[in-house]
Amino acid sequence: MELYPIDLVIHLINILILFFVLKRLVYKPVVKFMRARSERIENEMQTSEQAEKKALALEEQYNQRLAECDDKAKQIIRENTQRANETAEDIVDKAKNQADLIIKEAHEKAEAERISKIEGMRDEIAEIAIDIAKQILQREISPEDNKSIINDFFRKAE
Amino acid sequence: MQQAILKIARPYDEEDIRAITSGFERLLGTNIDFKVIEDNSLIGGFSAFIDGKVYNSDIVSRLNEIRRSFFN
Repeated sequence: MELYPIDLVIHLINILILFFVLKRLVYKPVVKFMRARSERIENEMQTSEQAEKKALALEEQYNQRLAECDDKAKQIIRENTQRANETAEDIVDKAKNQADLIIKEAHEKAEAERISKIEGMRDEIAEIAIDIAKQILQREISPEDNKSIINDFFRKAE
Repeated sequence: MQQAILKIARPYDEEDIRAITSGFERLLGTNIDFKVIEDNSLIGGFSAFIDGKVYNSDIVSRLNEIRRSFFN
């Protein structure tokens, strides 16, 4: 095959045309596309980084809030437990005082009843003793007794 | 003459009445005419009611005093 310079030139021109056409039609858009794509990727990367940072910050905040809530909850529970204990102790004290009071009153009542029984018995005994004395005296009293009662009376009166 | 009442329990006799009358006359310094009432509930001794006053010297009063002393 023979290669004539004119063919060469034509070929060269073709190539150049092709080159320019391709450059305009293909290369530029591709480069543009690529640049746009990498920018987009860049942006996306940035936004996702920001998003991630934000997410981390949020998580941090969330965890902190959670910890605070946890502490608060524990504190509330502690306070309530303490208050409950105090109330319970209070109730127990009150109940104990009341029980002591009841026991004391019961003792006093029992003592009072015991004393009134004893007094009752004593009165009865006295009554019986006096009745017995009356009966004996009614039988035993003699004229001399009467005379000595009379003399005693006037001796004491004078 | 002062009128008065004398309650007395058996056994007593005229001599006892005279002793009581002279005793009160000596004590009160007046003549007394006792209206004698036998009251055996006194069990022994006498009680005289003279001029609104009572002179108790009988067994029942004494027993009542004893009973009162028991109760207070």
